[in-house]
Amino acid sequence: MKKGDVVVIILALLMSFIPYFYIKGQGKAYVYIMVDGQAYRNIPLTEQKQELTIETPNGYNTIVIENKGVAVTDANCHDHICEEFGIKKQIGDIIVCLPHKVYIEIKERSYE
Amino acid sequence: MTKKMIYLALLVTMSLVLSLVEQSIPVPFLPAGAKLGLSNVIVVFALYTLPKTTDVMMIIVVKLILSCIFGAGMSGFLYSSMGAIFSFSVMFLVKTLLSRFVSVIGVSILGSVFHHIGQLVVAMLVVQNAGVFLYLPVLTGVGILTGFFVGLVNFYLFPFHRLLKQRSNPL
Repeated sequence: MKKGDVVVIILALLMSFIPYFYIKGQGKAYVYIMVDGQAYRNIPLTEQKQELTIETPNGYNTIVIENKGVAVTDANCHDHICEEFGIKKQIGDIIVCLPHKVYIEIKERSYE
Repeated sequence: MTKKMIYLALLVTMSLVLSLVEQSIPVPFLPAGAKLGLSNVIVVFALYTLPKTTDVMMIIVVKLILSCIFGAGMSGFLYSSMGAIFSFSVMFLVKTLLSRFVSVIGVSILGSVFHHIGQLVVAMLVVQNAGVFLYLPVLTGVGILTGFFVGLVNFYLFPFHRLLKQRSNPL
């Protein structure tokens, strides 16, 4: 056993965890929508433009997914705070419309 | 020349027998797809004792083909060949350049670890999903242990090789 052997063992162990961190960020991001506490729809976060109008008993919210980002572009709630969130792109980002009880979160689809 | 051919053939045969024998040894802690790799004792031995590297590569290729034919592993050939390529390249490089710092044991460990990495690369291409590499830490842990064992066996074999050379140099 030489000194280098110990280095080899330690390096090999450390290196074996590198792909783990690389893969963590690779999952497909999707837009998770809940209305009034119930799951409503899941939509992939795409580059291509997608438009969806969420119909709730209290009103509607229109979201647009484009360039891997999501934003609320139109809503008939009284405060329009959901529109002020702007474009959200990161996993974990959230947009809500409280009057309409709409909850939108960007989540990561884990590997199957 | 014939003497050398017989010697090399014997080495290959021994590695094949070892790979058959190790299947009968119950090993409780092995994850799926990992083996004891006893046949690699011969590969490392050849790497360290044969003067011509081309002979070592020939042993590896013949061993690869025959073990897949006899072990009913034609489907596994792709994985084993990539594993062999990765493992031999790394072992050869480290032995040639870093012998001052790394002994047989370190080289064997690297050979084992990179053999697994090669297999995972093929697996990733087959299932089109990089997620297979999440298995790497487990495989590496086991690979270090089996590699250590293979290197240790070689360490005890080398004095016998010296004896062999004195008595009847087959090369």
